[in-house]
Amino acid sequence: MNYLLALLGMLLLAGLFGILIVWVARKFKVEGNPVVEQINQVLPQTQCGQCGYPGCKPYAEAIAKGEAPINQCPPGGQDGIGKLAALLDVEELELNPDNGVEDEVDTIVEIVEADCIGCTKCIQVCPVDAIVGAAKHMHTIIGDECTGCDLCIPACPVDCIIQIPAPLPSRIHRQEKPRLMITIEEAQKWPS
Amino acid sequence: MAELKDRLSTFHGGLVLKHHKELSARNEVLRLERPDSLTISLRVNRGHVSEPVVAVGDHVNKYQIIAQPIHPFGVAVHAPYSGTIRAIEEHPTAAPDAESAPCIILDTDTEDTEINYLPPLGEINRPSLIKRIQEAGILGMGGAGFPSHVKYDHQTQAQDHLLIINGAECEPYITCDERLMLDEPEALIKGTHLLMQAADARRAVVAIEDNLGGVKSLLDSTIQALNLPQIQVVKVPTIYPTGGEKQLIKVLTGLEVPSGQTPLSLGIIMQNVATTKAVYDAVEHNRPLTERLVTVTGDLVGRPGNYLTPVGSPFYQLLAAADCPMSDVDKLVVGGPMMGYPMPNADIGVDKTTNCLLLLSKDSTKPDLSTLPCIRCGDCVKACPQDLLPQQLFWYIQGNDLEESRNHHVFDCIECGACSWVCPSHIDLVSYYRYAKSELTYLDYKKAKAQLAKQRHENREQRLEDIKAERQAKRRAKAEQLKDKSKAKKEISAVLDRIKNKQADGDKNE
Repeated sequence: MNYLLALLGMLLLAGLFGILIVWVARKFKVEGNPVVEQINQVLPQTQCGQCGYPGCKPYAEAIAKGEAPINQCPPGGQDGIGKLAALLDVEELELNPDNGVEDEVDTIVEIVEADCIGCTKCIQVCPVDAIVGAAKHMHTIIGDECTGCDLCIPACPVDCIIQIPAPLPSRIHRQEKPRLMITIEEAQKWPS
Repeated sequence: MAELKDRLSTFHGGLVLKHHKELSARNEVLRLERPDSLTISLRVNRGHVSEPVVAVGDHVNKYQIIAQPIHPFGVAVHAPYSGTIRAIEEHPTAAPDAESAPCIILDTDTEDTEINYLPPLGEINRPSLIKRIQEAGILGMGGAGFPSHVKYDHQTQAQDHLLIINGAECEPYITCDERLMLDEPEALIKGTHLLMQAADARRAVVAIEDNLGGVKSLLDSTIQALNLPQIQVVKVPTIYPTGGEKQLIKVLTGLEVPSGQTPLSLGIIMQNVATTKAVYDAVEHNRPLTERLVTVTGDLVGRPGNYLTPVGSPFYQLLAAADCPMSDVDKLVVGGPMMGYPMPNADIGVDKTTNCLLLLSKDSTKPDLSTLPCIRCGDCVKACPQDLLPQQLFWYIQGNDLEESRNHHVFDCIECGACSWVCPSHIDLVSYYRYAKSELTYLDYKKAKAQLAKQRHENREQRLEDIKAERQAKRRAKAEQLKDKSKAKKEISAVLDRIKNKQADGDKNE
């Protein structure tokens, strides 16, 4: 009898917990893969497509599925690869040169407005809608919104889009990191 | 609400320094002769650049406004003398690292036929005073250069604020505030009274350091003569950096300004004595802020003292006036020895926040000792007046873990230099914190920009998808329609008719 009671009790408990688990899973269901969003946050959002995917999010999805290695994003650079490696707990790789090289300075683009013929081709390829203009009217770039993806440069039939260094707001002054402290060997010789 | 304590409090850490003030404090204030050209910086508050409202070649009157702020945290700039605008260009300024900023170069002349005073103020009340402070281009002259009107133009309505006038110049060598209090006690007390009205404050405290001999009795007798008992003069102990905003509040009220907030959150407004005098001038004499007292001192200076200097005056002119041979100068420092920063040359204009030029010979500067490894002695922790962990911050920044340095409140560092001063390994700790702050600000900016790009990219994708879906829906509807044979025939004949009509129209037109 006792055996049966215990068995019944266990079954009852198992049933209750089963219902609870199902309820929790429905109530707190996470849409999509949260890892994709985390990877996407690390990517620089230039939407340049140098990784071979049409934008940062598709690349993030590919990384999450394990289809793409983490070293295909030149704008993110080695820093970005480091962050991805830390996030996903994988080995940090060198940037794949097939995807491009890391720029020394951040750039955006500018339209040489005198040369613009108003073809709207650049507007169609801009991934962040940072170009304004209409057919047969001069176009211009909204500098604050340009990510420097350079997709508009090959699209322009008259080559009137040029790269310029990305301007910084006047409140930001980047400083150089102070010189590293001297090595132990140097210190041992000090103060000679 | 913040209350003044009967017994003063103390802040953590700090240093007792040799103050070297006797060099310049006892000499009479001299007015700097009119410089032939002024280099007036348009950047204030270490960031916001004002927009010039004059063009190259224009003639400007004395006190004419030459640049307008475009950002709420910018300030107006006025011409100290009449003259002609020679250029508007990038030029090194008296900011840290002599950073370049847009400057107006003004060739001065003596044609002071017309002077553009500010319009008379009329009734003195809170809004009119705040407006006057703004239009006179007044900013915090103690060093940070925070636009003054912003402090009063707050939303918190009519509370019993405490106004603190900061006369505690804790840095060695600098005496311009002391000299101002000695020479113009009446202007200072009257200015304090004006600021009380602007701040809705019922009480004001003028805080001075206890090493300033006769200043307290002089100010006390002025207060008595003007019958303003709501203003009180308090002596605070001379411990570096008592003159720091947060430190002085701690000493006077025992309260700590919360991290990331302003003293206003405690109901306190603090203003430097030079700023107070500038407000008095703007209200009583309708003069915009175009000149300030600058201490010129150091072991090389023949006539150390305080000089009444128009904004934009080149350093070399001050050096000549103070009889200092430029060739012997090893270090030309703007500010004091603790927080000041060296300048590469003397062809830089005085700023509204330049309180001191310190000229040091090779003998008096600290020899350039090489940096040794951090030994975790903790001396910097004991010295830090902000109660931070300087060595821990140093390790994080050294290891490029800037986020962790943010979590350890690197942004609360006031860059007083106490940690660098006590470091037995001669590590210039403050430069690490400056670097971390600038880099974190930059990274935050990049992050915000990436967020914006992400948002815009998603919006665009959504839009393209919507357009595609709309087109498909249309096509599907059409296909559905054409399934019915008779309807399809009708449709075809309608189209054919339309084309025919069009052709007929075209023929007619020809």
